[in-house]
Amino acid sequence: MGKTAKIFKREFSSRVRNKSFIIMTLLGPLLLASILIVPMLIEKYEQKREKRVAIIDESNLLGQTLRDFDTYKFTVVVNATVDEMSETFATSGFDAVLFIPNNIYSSNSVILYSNVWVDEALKAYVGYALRRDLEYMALMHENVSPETIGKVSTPVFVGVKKWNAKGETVETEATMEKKNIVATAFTSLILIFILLYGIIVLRGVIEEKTSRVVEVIVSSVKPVQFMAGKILGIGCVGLLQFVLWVVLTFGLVVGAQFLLFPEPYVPTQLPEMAETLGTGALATQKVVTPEATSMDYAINLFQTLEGVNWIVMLGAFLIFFVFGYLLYAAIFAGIGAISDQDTETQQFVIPVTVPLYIPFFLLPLIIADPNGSLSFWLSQIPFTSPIAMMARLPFGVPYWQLTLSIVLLVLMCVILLRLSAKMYRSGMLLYGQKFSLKSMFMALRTAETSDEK
Amino acid sequence: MNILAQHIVKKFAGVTALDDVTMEIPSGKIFGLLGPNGAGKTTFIRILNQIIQPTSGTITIDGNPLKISDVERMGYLPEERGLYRKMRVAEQILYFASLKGMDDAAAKQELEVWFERLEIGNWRNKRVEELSKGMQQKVQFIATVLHKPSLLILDEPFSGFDPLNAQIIKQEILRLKENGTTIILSTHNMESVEELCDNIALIYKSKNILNGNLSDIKQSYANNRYKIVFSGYYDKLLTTLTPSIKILCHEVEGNTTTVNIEVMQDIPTNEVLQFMMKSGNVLSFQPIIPSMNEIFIQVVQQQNQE
Repeated sequence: MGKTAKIFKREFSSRVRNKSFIIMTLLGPLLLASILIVPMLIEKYEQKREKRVAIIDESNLLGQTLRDFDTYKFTVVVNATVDEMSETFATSGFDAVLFIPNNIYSSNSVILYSNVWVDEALKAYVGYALRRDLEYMALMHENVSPETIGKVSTPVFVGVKKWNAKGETVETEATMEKKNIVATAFTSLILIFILLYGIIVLRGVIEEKTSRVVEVIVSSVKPVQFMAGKILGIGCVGLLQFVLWVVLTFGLVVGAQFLLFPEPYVPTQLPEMAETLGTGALATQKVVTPEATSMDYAINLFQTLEGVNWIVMLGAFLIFFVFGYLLYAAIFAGIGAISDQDTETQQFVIPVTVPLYIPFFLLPLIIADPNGSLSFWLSQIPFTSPIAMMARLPFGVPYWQLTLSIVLLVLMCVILLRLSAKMYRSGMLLYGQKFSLKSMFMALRTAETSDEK
Repeated sequence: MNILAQHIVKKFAGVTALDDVTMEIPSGKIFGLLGPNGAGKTTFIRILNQIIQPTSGTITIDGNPLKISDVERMGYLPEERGLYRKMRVAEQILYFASLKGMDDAAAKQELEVWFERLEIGNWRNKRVEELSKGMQQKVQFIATVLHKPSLLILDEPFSGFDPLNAQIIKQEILRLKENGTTIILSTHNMESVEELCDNIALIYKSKNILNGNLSDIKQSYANNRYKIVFSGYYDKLLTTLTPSIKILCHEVEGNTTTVNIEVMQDIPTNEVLQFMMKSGNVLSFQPIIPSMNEIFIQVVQQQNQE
């Protein structure tokens, strides 16, 4: 077994057996899954219960036009006043009271009373329905025919399609939206992974420096071997944790869904949207989501994304994921090698990771123009490319650009790994010194004079 | 393992840490590497360990140039001790041994021997952070010697030990020497140097200023000083004193007088004795051999004056 492998083995096994690793690995999926499951649970519970809304209608007309909506049942209470209702509300069996004043035609306002905060969906529905009624009545008053009114209030759906160079439609709004999701998901994964495990590399190196283990180790192992074993070991720990998170979260969500919603889960739609889509041929094109469970949606997303080569996409993801991590891990290790205390090092973590955040925050711009010059350069520069290239990929990137970007990234990785190994060796001689550009410079100069082994 | 370092120079970004240092470390002996703090001892040790490379100069081991695989035959106990705090004792020692290329089964066997010798077998599954400082030092010592190195480099091996445990470690060092291990001992503890070392080198301000066999060096600094006890009168001695003899100090107790003298010229011991016999009845007569501590201070002061 080579020495790199021995270092790797220790880094991997000591971290995997660590209590905090086990706790985090189990707690992570529980947290993630509960974020997904709890809203469903709440919605399911809320959905099952019928809610009764009393209407006090001083206009004697508008109240009757409100049809039951979702779980809300509307009942017009004749000759009631708000004061009376408020006194008997607790025992009346109603969940809310809608008060339509007789001055509604001039004031354009109604009031919803309840002992709980009124659901946004109910508020939106009441507003929408009454608006239509008022519009209708106003137009009728001007002697406009009902047919004309129908035409006037027809909403227009704007479809967006994108052509490629040959004039073929390559993108519709629906696929565009899905590609957005894919780009955001992949870039977020890379960002989180690099930050999470890069910091662990930094901590590990600092720990060895402060505990002075480093001198014992470099008297047996080449710094390059040590660095490689360490970074790869922690990387694999991270990868294992990530895979476990995904698998466990998936399992928990599927399990919960199976137990809680034997029938497909249908999220409540806002009345506005439902109404708009209720008529017209366009409805079928857009209403894909509500029919399916969120898991079906993920599978659906995978299948329907035309123009995305999934093999290239996943292959590239793996490459950028791994080398992006290696690149930043090398930088973090280098910083750790020449600094002494955890606290003072933290401030250097932020400037170093700025190149990661830049493309992440510019994501909307990259997605808006995936082949523009900003997108191109960000996806070629090794420090920003892991994020920027993953954001561009779902929209199609020429192979030469993809290849060039990977080559540049790998080259930069090799350079930085060697550099930080040098800093590791000479950084040892700088015990107790504060991290500064000067000490970094000294470390590199010392490394140069001490040659390779 | 015979080590010959010739004309070693090491510069760090303009600062000279070692300046033309030449020394031979003979096989199977204990070699004391002495010098004040910051003189360059640690730099020399790191060059031997190949942690850093010399700017110029050569090192040969048994006649062959130093090569990377030689580190596996060396054991290094750094002055700044280092162990993984969260790792367990046995696991940690075996890890360091495996980094030195030792076979796992052999390492486990050897570990049992050392656990028994230093009586820390009960702590094998404890984390290092749970141990006392002295206990940690023992763990570090075992980690240094487990792979049976031919060259053992010990930087202040007794620091952190109580006198009892320091004695145990001393015995183990001597045992390792008997088994043929070459040992470099870097320390400020001159008592242990006199007790253990066969040869020494004194590095001061990046240079090797004193080098050789310990007893030869001590003899050479014993220059014509004697301690004499006689029954007779000190006053009488003073009256008969010749300019070639200088009294360093004296002590009178009843009829017995003790004097330390320094003979200025090369006068044979017999003549000095004859001269003393005139003043009274000589009870004891012995040359004063300076301690390593005195030699250290004397040599360094001389260097400073130059």
